Amino acid sequence: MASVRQSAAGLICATFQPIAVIVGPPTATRTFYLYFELATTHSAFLASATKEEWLPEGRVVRIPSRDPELFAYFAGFLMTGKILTIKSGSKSTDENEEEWDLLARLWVLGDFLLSTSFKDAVVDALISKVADGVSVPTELHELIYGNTAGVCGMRRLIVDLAVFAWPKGTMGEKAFNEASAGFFRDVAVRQAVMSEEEKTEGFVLESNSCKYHGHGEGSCYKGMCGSAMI
Amino acid sequence: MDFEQTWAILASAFTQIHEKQASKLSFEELYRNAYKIVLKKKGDELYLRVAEFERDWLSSEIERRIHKELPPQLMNALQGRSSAGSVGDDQVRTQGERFLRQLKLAWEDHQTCMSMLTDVLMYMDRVYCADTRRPSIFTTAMSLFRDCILRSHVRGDDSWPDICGTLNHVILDQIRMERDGDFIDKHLIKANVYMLEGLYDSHHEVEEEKLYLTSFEYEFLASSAEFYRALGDRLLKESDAGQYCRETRKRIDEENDRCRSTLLESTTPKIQKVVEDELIRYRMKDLIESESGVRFMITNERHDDLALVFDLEARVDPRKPELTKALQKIILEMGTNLNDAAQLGAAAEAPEDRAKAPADKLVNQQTVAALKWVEDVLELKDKFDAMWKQSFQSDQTIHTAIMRSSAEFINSHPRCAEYMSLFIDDNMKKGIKGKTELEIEALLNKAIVLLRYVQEKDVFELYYKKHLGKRLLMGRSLSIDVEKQMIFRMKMELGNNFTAKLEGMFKDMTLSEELTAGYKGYVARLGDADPRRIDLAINVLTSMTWPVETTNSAPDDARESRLKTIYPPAMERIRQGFENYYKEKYSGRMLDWKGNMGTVDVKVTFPKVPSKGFKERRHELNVSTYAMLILLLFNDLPSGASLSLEEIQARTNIPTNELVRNLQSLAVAPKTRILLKEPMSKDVKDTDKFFFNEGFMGKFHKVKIGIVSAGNRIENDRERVETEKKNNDSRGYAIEAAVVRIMKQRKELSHQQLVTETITQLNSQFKPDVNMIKKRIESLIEREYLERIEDSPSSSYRYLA
Repeated sequence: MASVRQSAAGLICATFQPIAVIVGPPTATRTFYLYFELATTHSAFLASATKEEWLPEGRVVRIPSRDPELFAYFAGFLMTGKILTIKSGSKSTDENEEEWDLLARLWVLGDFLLSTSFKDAVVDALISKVADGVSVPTELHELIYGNTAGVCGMRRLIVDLAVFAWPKGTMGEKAFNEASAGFFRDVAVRQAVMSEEEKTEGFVLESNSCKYHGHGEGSCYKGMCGSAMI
Repeated sequence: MDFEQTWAILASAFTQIHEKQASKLSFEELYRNAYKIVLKKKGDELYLRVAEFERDWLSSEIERRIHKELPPQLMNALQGRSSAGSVGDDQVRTQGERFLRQLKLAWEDHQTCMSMLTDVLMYMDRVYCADTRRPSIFTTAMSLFRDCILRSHVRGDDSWPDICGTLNHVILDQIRMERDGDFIDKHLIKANVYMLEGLYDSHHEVEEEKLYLTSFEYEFLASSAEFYRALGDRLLKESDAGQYCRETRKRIDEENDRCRSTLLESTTPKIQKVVEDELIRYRMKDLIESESGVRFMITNERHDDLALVFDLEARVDPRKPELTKALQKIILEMGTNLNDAAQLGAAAEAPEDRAKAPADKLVNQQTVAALKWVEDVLELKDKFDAMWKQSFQSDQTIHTAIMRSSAEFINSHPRCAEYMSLFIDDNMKKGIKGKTELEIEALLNKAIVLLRYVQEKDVFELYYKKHLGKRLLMGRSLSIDVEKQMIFRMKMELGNNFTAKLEGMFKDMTLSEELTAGYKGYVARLGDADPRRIDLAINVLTSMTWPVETTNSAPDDARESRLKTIYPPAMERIRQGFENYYKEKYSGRMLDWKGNMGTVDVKVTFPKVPSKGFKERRHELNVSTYAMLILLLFNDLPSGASLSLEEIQARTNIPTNELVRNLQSLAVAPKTRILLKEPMSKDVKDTDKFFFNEGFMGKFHKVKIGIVSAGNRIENDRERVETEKKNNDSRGYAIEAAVVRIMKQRKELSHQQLVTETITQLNSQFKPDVNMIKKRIESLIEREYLERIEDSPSSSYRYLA
């Protein structure tokens, strides 16, 4: 647990100004009020979209192409630093499976918004869900491979899960099509480059590493100051 | 998704952005379209299309706008192709500014547009470019600006420089105008400079590849060098050195300002070096040696100008070689002039006056010339010291240079040591009269500073001892306190060895006072005071401490010096009395009486001379001991009787030259003629007769009869030969001592090393002559202190214990 005492640099949040982000197709829009400084720090898309040359009329950003339901999780992340996907009280298998799908979609949203911290947090949420030991996601590869354009943390994570954690026989049941071709190729490559250690000792998902993060040399969202992640 | 369709949407938006009509565009829509293309793995194609789009835009629209601002007149003027005067400076300037403005505008627009395009294409940059390690689209677009605009040729004509070269020309032309005193639009140039700084010569985006460096700065420095070379030529011809320095300073400041306001600060050190090279480094010698150069400045006390010269040369070389060289040369010249003047002053009147003027007068003139020399040297030194502080920032290198050349000219004067001692002597006797403590302190300091320069410290010591001895014995010093201070300073400066004997002299003086007082008490205790008793004040001098010439009246022939002076009985009694007293106190010491150094107060009664109407007069005469002996002879003589010189000598045994001198002061000097001489002439001959002058008329009761040439003055040639001989002897001993000391420690040593070490050891006293060292070594070998080592490749010696 982080200490309750934090750096005075966090006081900058007292001066934050809100912007309105209207998400969703014209028929079903939802307006989010985000702090400008937080939104532009955590999303390169929002940083550009709020530039004066793109927003001549004021602080309203429109993102008609994204789902407001998903965007709410991003907004929640900005405020809390957490991925708020646990539905209270529900233990049904369906909802459990739905959460895998939700997390994958959130990651794609993060990719569109160019928010490394959100993507990394979603990856960590997914890893923690795997660590719960209830189930392993086996249906995410088509979604992820269809909505990303190259090597990224999420692709590596689901490939590793497929190679090391999928129940026996699962791979064989999967359909091979245009959307999943890249995935199977990566799985093959992963198996080919597997280390001796991995072969004998299996694969351990480390919940506290940056292995599947995309920040590179930059700072991890976990290290960002306070829950509001300034 | 259809690529062409999506690209068409993007391309149309990009056109609107370039045409500054982007307000209606939706960022999210454009971004999403580019995003989709990249997700569909068409990032490569998108990238190429954007680059192509930019190339088209730049080389059609922008190139046209810029080339329009380059009319042929401007191009010709810039290239120097136009016939002179066909295009006025003003027109070129206006056209140049329009070109700069257009280029600045194009560059700024390009950046703004590319910044917006980069926003739209961000997903491509982050995902596609990062994966394939392509430069960002912004970077590529910047290179396109360089290739399509800056490297384009006006009207496609390769014989003209490209836009980049033209830009250099325009900027350099504007800078030229500013250097000539015009006002130019600095911000406009700065904007273009920023453009050059933001672009690279190649794909390697490293500091050295910046266009500013590769394209502009080099030309700027080269053209500046040319400009300042010409300026330097002109200034040297047209201005005096002071103006030159001021102009140079101004130019350096201007270039600094220019880098700050118009170019880049990173150029400051480079352009400074150019200006320094052209206006200072390559010109300093000419400048310093010019007619209005350093010599002129020194002569006319142009301290500010000198400071400028110093400041300028210090910029290019901390050793300031030219200034130092010039200063040394000038000091040496001025010093040599002083030396020549002193020699001239000493010799000038000699030939014509020799016949008439007595030798003494000549010597006096020479003494005055000697004192003047020292004062002139001090004045010269003060002048340069003041300059050093005021103009040369108390710089160490300059200080050393001044010291060196001062020492050089001072030591080139063969009699500097004697002159300096005389200078101190004169001040101790007269100079410090009425001066405050501070002034005296300053004077003492000056004396010490001068002494520091003198190389032959041993010669100085010799003279100082001689002069001090006379001052002490004759009571001529104004203040014993100041004398002691002087000695203390010498001790600090030159060490104990140097002052040990001088201090001994003071000790003798103190002891003598005590002896005199003690003797007085002793006599008083002997019995009732004898009214006819003669008071005695005595100085007992340790023979090794005091200079020989003080104690030996004159080194005449040996016969005379063996003869003992005959004292009249009254005097003899006292002499004996004191000798007894002294022997009681210090047994085993020999007292040798020096009649030439003492003085006596004698009461003389001159009888009435009715023929002249004189009454009887009493005078108290202060005379030398010898003069007293002479006068006492006349006591026993009947009035009107005379004594010849020979008779006087026979009855007193006074050495001839002392006798002649005393008789001169008693019988020749006009105001103190106690004796009359026959025949009356200035010279004293053996056969001359002397009478008591009964008609002596003195203005005061007390009359002091000085002895000719008793004071300290310059040596005559004979004396000098003698001093030199004596000094050479003592140097010989010093050298032998040093050689033995060295050999005793080293046992074996080559000749060369021995000579070097000997010189090092003795350097603080004097500069030994190598020949003299050789002779002393030979002599030591003869006396078997050393031997030559046979079979040694170089000649070497061994110490014989």
